[in-house]
Amino acid sequence: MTVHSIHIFNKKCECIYFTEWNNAKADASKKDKLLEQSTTTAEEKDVDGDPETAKLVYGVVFSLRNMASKLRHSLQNSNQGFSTYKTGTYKLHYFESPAGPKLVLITDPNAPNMAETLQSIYASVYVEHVVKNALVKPNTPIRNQLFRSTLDKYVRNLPNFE
Amino acid sequence: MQGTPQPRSTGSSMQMQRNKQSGDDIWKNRTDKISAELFALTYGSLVAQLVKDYEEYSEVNTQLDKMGYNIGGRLIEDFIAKSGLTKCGSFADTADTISKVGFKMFLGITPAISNWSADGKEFSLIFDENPLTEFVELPDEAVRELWYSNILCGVLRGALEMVLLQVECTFVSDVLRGDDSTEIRVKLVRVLDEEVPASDE
Repeated sequence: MTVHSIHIFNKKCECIYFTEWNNAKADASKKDKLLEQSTTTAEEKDVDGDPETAKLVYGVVFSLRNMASKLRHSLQNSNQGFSTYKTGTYKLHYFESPAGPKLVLITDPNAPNMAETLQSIYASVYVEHVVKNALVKPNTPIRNQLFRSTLDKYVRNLPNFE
Repeated sequence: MQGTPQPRSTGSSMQMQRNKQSGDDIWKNRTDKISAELFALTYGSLVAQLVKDYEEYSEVNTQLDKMGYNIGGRLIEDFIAKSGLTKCGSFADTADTISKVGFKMFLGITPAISNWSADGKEFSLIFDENPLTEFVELPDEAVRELWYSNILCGVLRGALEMVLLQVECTFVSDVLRGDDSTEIRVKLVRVLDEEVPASDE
């Protein structure tokens, strides 16, 4: 199982974080839009997301989530709505915190259910390093080096990551 | 607890029991603790410095509320991460969660909920203890105007706004001022809408 990428969206529908792993196109283009140096290996490319792709991803999850909730017609908790979908080439996992941020994880199609993984990425990586950092204005793109390396370590330590 | 009639009354009383248990559990096991004296003294010196800087007590109240607002916006994410709770079914559920899980988790106290308004949009939190005011006595000129723990109002306002509930939160009475009880009134102004992505026209 490989994890391909992760997007994090804030409550204003903007992509505030994006990372890819194991991308075969990583050496083809090195568009470095970050102000600081990205600490990358050959496999990982860190740009703030091609904004068009990010918008497309957000549009997809937003529409699917609304559609799922309309089809349900009940008063149940919203976390039982849309959570993943699978195509022939990838599987997309979605986690939404009631306070706003949304996490989107893209893996290969055979991945197991990653809902708990996303929940713990949110709780132990995002909340710890981004939310609790008082010097960071909320809803701005995440430039935090510690966040990036913790997230990277966490994903690489997932049981089936290659 | 007096409440307006709700469609799922058995559901919400189960939710109340779960709230109480999860609040206690998180407080015991999953939060780091610091010394209460350190906390009370830090807050006290913060208020004292604000009083020195702003000189007007009403301005100090506003600043405390603003600070609380910023804290609340971040605290709610920590709250969700630790408690794993999702959206509340009703405003009464929200009130109960605030009291039994939220306050319990961060301050170790459980204020009582009472004085529901007829339309179910306002309630009061009654505090029988307040860790912020451990060693505090207000001077005479402050007694009439300063709401010492006003940061709590800001925290509630900021946190609830992140879950799309716009509320007004004010102190009604405070034991530091010589009243019988410490009471915060929380009023739901409106439910906010989620942001929709801007369309690419």
